[in-house]
Amino acid sequence: MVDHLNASRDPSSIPPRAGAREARRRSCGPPRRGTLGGVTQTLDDTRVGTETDPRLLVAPDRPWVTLVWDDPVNLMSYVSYVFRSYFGYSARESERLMMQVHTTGRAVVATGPREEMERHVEAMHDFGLWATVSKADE
Amino acid sequence: MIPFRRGRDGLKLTLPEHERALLADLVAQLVSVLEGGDPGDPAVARLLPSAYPDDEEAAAEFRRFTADDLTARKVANARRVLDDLGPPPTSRLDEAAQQSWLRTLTDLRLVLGSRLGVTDEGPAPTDDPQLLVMHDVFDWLGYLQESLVQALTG
Repeated sequence: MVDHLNASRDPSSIPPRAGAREARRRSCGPPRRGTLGGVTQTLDDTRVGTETDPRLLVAPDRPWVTLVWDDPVNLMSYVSYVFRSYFGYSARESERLMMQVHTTGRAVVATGPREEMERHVEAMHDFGLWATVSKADE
Repeated sequence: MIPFRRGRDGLKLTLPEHERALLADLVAQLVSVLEGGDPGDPAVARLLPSAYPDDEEAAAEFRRFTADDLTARKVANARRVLDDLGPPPTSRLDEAAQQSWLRTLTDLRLVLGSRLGVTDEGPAPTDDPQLLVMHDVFDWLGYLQESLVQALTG
């Protein structure tokens, strides 16, 4: 998929400093085929495959994550218990994630589609853990 | 006396009467904090934290879809604990009750932790005798919570 998307992309055809959001907006409008001659047509055609649906680009490469953050109140044993009972991690893995939260300030406890991560975050808030959603690598 | 012990049919709860009364008083206050739902209250903000700290729009949308349900569940958990505390007190906690107790003790400690300015070093230092009593209460709730987690996992 990535290869297919990149294949037709000629770096020189992308206007300098045009952000992804702007490119996306422009590509959503009616096709301006032929308005400025052949060059414009080529630009638009190229963008259709790469910019129309940003989720096509984001989803496979950069999934969403559920982060759990360290807080000064929750007990280590409780945080471990939550990871074990809710996510079904082994005692060892739960302990490892809990220690990562405790020593580094946060840990990724789940990765996947955004809606699923939001469900996890809501469940963590139900348990009283401090959890957030973000894109992987952010 | 160990507050929570694993038994054949659930957990056995053993709390002296004055501790039950204190806990019931605190849980009733937790219910009013939750039902008050003042978003400017730091304790409420900790109970319903932002899911998207760097994206106000997404955070507001998440809140719109989850805050009412989360609050209702937290209140229901707290009411279950109040029921169990009695009178008459319950001495057996089934699985649903165990989960309500776990979450309510957590929520209570989060609210109290927020009021007492708890950091990694513990509660903010104070000379106020009333606050010092609450430091002890905070520690005691931690002891209860630890006992419950141990009974569930040990």
